[in-house]
Amino acid sequence: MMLDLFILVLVSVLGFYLAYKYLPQLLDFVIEKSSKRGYYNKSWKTHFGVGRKDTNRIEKAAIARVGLGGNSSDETVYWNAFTDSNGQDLNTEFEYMIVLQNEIPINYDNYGFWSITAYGHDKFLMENTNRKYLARNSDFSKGVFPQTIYLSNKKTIRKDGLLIPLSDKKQKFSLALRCYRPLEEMKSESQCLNISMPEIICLT
Amino acid sequence: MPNINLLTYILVFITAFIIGIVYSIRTYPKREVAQLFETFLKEGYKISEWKHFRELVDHHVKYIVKPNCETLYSSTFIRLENDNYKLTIPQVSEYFSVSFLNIDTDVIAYITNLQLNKSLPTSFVLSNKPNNKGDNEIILNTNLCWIIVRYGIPSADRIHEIHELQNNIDLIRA
Repeated sequence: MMLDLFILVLVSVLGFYLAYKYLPQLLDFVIEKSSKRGYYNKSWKTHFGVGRKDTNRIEKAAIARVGLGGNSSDETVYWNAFTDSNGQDLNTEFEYMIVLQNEIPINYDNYGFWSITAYGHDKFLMENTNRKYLARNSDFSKGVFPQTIYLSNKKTIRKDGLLIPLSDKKQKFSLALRCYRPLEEMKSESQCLNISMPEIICLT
Repeated sequence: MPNINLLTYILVFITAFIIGIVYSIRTYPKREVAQLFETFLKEGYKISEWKHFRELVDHHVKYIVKPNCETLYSSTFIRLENDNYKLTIPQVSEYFSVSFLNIDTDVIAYITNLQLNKSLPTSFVLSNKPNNKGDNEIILNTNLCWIIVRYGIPSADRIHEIHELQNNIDLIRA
């Protein structure tokens, strides 16, 4: 009887411990796979619960996992992309082109800006000798479209656009589009779905 | 003949796992902030002392996921149980924001370029209770507050201007 009780306690502790230890991985799964989370526009998805008190606990934990200390959506809207425009996972073995056809709605007059950053499967910046990890609006002439950004692990892919180098190691990766000082249409849950978002086209 | 069968063990394991998940989800943001706070203290920083991030992050940075490499940061923690603080921000001419977070990662308040005087330093009193002295007051209603300052960088060759801003942002006990 004592042995049974001991095993029961052991099993309980093990169950609790495994849940506690592997929550981050579970959150990663929720973040990447759950289609009910957030708002989608093309390959991009966002969530307006960052930094808000009324955000539910699962969302809050997921947000803490990918963006601890992030600005709330009033100040910055964060978009993430894990797939290209055909719905295929982004992978460093391929080359991509990100095309912006219109201005991203940001309060540029009040120091607002946007940036697109590439992250490896481990959610950290991918190693490259040029320490180039992102593109931002100031890399382009204001009001001139389309604006094109290439993603590739080949150093000399194109000369007609900006290059964000990808890792030589084959892996899935993601993109983060940060919009600092977004305009109302970007902050609105209904209107953000109609914004012209950058398209992510696989070239290979 | 055992008193408890295998199914009971499995059910107990599943129940404990579910309780563990619920508990972990509820406490995850607090756990992460507490870990940051602990690291901050271990590194020798004191409450209200700025930890300035002087360089843009690169692929060697592994302490925070999805690090942002278009702004510089300054960060600190303050305790508001017994103290008020005075935050003075110098003249700023690029993207700038200060966010105040509680331990549950809720952003309680912001200061952005919009609240700052364009030509003079601007001061704010950070407190848990209104002091009715007519100051620029920010009521935070939290005992431990994590402050994150973000400075937009116009170009890499102007990073020294941001360093100057970091040196001049002042936080003292009021």
